[in-house]
Amino acid sequence: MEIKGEYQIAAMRGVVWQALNDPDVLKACIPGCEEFERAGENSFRAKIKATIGPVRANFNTILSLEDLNPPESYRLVGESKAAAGFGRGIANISLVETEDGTLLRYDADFKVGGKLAQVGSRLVVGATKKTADDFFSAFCTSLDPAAYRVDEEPEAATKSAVPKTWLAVAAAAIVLLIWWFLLG
Amino acid sequence: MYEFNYHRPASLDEAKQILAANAEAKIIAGGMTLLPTMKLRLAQPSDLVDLSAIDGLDAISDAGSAIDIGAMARHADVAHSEVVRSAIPALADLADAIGDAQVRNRGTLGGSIANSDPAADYPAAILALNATIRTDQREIAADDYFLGMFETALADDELVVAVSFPKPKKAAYAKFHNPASRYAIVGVMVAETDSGIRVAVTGAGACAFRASDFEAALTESFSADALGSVSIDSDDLNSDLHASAGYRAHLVRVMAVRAVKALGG
Repeated sequence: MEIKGEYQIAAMRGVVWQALNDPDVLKACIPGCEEFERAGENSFRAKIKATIGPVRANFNTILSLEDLNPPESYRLVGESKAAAGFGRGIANISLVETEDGTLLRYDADFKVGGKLAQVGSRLVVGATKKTADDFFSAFCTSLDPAAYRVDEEPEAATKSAVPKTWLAVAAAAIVLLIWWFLLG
Repeated sequence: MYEFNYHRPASLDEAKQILAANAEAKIIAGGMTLLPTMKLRLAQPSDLVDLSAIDGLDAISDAGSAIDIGAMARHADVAHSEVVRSAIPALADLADAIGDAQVRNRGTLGGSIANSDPAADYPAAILALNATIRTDQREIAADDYFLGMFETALADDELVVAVSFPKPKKAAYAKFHNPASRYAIVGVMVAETDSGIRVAVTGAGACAFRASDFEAALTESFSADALGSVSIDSDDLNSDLHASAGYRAHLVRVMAVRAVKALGG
């Protein structure tokens, strides 16, 4: 399954990039994140309690950042395992400097297996999109209260420049979300 | 199943006390979503609070300009209620087409709308008929209730007590169901109410929503032809192995046309 999105952030690319690599920022923005710690130079370990409708599940997720090209782009690879299933996902995140700040783009491809996929295939895309949206809006808002989704009506929002780090964070969050669903 | 504590309180107050004392407790109405979820270990509540022993929570009554239906009324109760059938036949028909007989004999109105599955049938009726959701704390208008996927205006400690459905001048529900689950791939209810024409869609998006372009077209001319030029944007619609977003957008109009034709338009 593939999902993608774009966010305009009024913060400089370098700032966004840093935020996307800051465990504290990521932890605060990932819905249900109870623990988030650096596991290596370019990897993180997270415990996330996912609550979606009737589902309440704890996911142990490992995220690693690959193909790092600061402050422009990276690839986020995630894996989650739980009793109810597993998930694997890859997200490509890029930060583009714009007049108003930074444009964060992500596209993610993920797979879900186990019981979660058996019962949840109807809901996985919607739930993942919602989680990604929740993460990105929290992330972008933490950098720039006026940040907005590019595909939404922008008139109410002031453009802002967010560092690319934020994009990376967002991508990581997306991956985490995917994993959660998979592990469910 | 793993171990959990089972409670069957006799009053709403008692139910609320148990919920307040147990952070991982979960309310169970019919259990048609919660039990399969628990069997798969996708939810492991410490306590289940069964509302079925609370007196009067499944009552169905004619309140004059509206039909009041208790939160614990089963889908089969609503489908077979003479009170509902005579005042809002579209609502009885909707309840009669939910899931299979087993689900209809266990599943409840309150459980359905508290869960707010994107493909549940009742949310279309809540919005199209401009119902009011009564909880243990307040009344919530239909238009303020559904917020997103499995997301409603209910607070964590809030319980649905009843739903008041104003009697429409006319209403019809058409759905394109999944042949296995009978969930709505797309379901549309069209109603002429005291507040005008209302068109509500379920199954297509993250939660049920009103199709305002359809409402405007039908207000101008209540006919299937009036829907020929309106369409719905597929950008925010669901896409899964059963139907793409584009196909769902198409089905919204087809179902709306069927509902309008059923009303003689």
